[in-house]
Amino acid sequence: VRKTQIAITGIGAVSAAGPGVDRLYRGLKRAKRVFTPNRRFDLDIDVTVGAASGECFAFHDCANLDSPTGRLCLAAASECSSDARHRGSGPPDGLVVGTSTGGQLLNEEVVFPLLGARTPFSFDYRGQGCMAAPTRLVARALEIVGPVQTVSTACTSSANAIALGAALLKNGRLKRVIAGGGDALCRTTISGFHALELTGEKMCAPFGPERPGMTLGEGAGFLMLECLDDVRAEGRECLAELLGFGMSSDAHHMTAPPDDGAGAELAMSRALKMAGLAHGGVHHINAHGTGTRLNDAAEAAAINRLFGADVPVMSCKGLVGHTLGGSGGIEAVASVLAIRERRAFENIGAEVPGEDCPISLVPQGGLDLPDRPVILSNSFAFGGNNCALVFGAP
Amino acid sequence: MRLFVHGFGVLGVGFDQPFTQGIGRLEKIPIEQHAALALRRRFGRLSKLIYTAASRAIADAGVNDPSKLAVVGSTAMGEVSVSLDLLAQIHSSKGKTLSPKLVPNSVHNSPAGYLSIGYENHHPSLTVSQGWLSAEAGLAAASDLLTSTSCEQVLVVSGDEADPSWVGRLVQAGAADWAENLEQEAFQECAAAFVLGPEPGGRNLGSLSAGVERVSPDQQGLAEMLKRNEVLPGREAEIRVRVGAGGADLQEIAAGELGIGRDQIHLDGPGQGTCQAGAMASLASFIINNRSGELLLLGREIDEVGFIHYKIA
Repeated sequence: VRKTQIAITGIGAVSAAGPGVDRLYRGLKRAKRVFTPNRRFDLDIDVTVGAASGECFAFHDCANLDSPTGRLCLAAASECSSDARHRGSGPPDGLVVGTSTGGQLLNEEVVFPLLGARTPFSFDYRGQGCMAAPTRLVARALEIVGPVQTVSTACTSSANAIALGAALLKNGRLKRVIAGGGDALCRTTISGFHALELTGEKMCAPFGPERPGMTLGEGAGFLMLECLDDVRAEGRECLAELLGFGMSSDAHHMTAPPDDGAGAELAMSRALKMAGLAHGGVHHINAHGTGTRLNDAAEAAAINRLFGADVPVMSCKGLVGHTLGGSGGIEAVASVLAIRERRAFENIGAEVPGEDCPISLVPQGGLDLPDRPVILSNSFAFGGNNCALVFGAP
Repeated sequence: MRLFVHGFGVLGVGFDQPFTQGIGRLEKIPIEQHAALALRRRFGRLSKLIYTAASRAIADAGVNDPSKLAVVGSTAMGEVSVSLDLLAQIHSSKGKTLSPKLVPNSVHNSPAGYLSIGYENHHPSLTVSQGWLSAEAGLAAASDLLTSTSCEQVLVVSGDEADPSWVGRLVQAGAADWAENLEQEAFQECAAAFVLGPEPGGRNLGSLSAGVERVSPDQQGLAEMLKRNEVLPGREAEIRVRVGAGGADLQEIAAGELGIGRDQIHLDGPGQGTCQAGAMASLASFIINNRSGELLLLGREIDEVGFIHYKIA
């Protein structure tokens, strides 16, 4: 395994908190939620969602038929690319995008009229409807010439995309990779999670005693990854380091983790090993924390076994909802912000953990972090897919 | 990075039953030979295809403990039949009444998830999807996983089901060039799997290198891209370009840039695998039918070029 160190030289995000990283930062700091009842889709389901505002989709280079997921990804990736350019980075020579739904919303728009015996509009499946549609939109707009990849592992998609982006740098062929991902809300997502009884009308309360279920959201988050040696050699600034990543499979059930969170623990352990860290070296955890009874209890059990009950934990989903394939990317951006501010943001939605969650939550107002904080970010998914990322101060 | 092929397995039209024109769908998937009833009754069609191909590859490679393999899945469309069923249910019930059994199968990584459950495998698992270049993307991801983690062998599984109703609906929708090129597209249901490692294994079939890159709009730089990826096909190499979006253009560009005659580059036509599963089918056919030699398989979709370079050991 090559030991290439990875620098983060740019970040970008869009979410229910608003367009841009600054809106995400202000949302995390103020802890003010903007969840609303679903009004976008005509469904017989009462559900609260973290919908992104129109500004997050309205990107100037997009055509009318570009997928909403692609638009969210492009907005975040463009901000990330600009942010990196301000720090002296050149253009990315590789792109890895994670998404769970890709162009599914457009597919719905095409198939629904057909099911109702009406003529739908014409579209380009390979450019706008397939899973790789967001990747293709971003690559075209950012004029990326080089390796492109679309990861689709449900809710770990963008965390895995970041890990794969780091892998592309570690194998030595590229200098700069933009990696992350996103998902827009669609009917399939809202109806699917409702069918599994994982969503509720009330807002989510990650790790809290009363957990009414997850609040679905939408958004995207991207990081610019570079080799740390190159960044240092050129005397450039970086925001944080990606110290390691760990992946694992539960081998248990397609939609539920094992009670003890063994697969989650394995992913976290592998990430720590790659980072060369002992368990005591982690100062804060940005948890997956979906707000469902089973997921939160399993994750908390795994965290407790690895780190004890004292490491402060928060979940971004209390602010922006569960953005599925975008969650790992947005949470990576939030982790970089926490490193920049030397501050853990509060766990929005629950102040104290439930009895089945033996961990400490970041309290109201947040917590100071040490001068060189190390943060672990977790992502877990259907299929028993797990990915943990470790970030550190530069 | 070149990967060494320790074993492979394939299942599909053209292998388990003869090629057919148009949309070729397997009459039978022998999943009962490979997965327990309690598990396989949850599978969608794609999972059955992929699980069978994976089991064949594991047996071919002589892997004693499949729980130690990392897994990379690749599929262009995922469980298409499941997605269509879900959309029909959403449409008819306004989202209220969906089968909870279908929902987990709607994600692209469901076949890889079932593999991890069936083989009690806790190792890393990735699923990638790059349209008709997904097979190439899956092999490339395997290489990146082996380089950057402590995994010693990777099981790469790739496939797509052929669902006539879905293709028909998209054609009815006039989905751009699909409608025009459907005859050439020739959906042939297929899944293939490879057990790969960074070093030659006890059973060493050959070595391969693969990737997907976005190219400049004029597609110049193909030779440079191949060189950068350490793909240097010899004079006797068999070179095939998949027909589809821009296949003929790619043939001309490849001939020019590689300095060979256009007639030395074979165009894979109808029935020879032009969708993503077809890339694996072409590769599998080459492995089965040749005892020596090398194959360079090129494909293009929109502004991306994919390649698989295979050398028989």
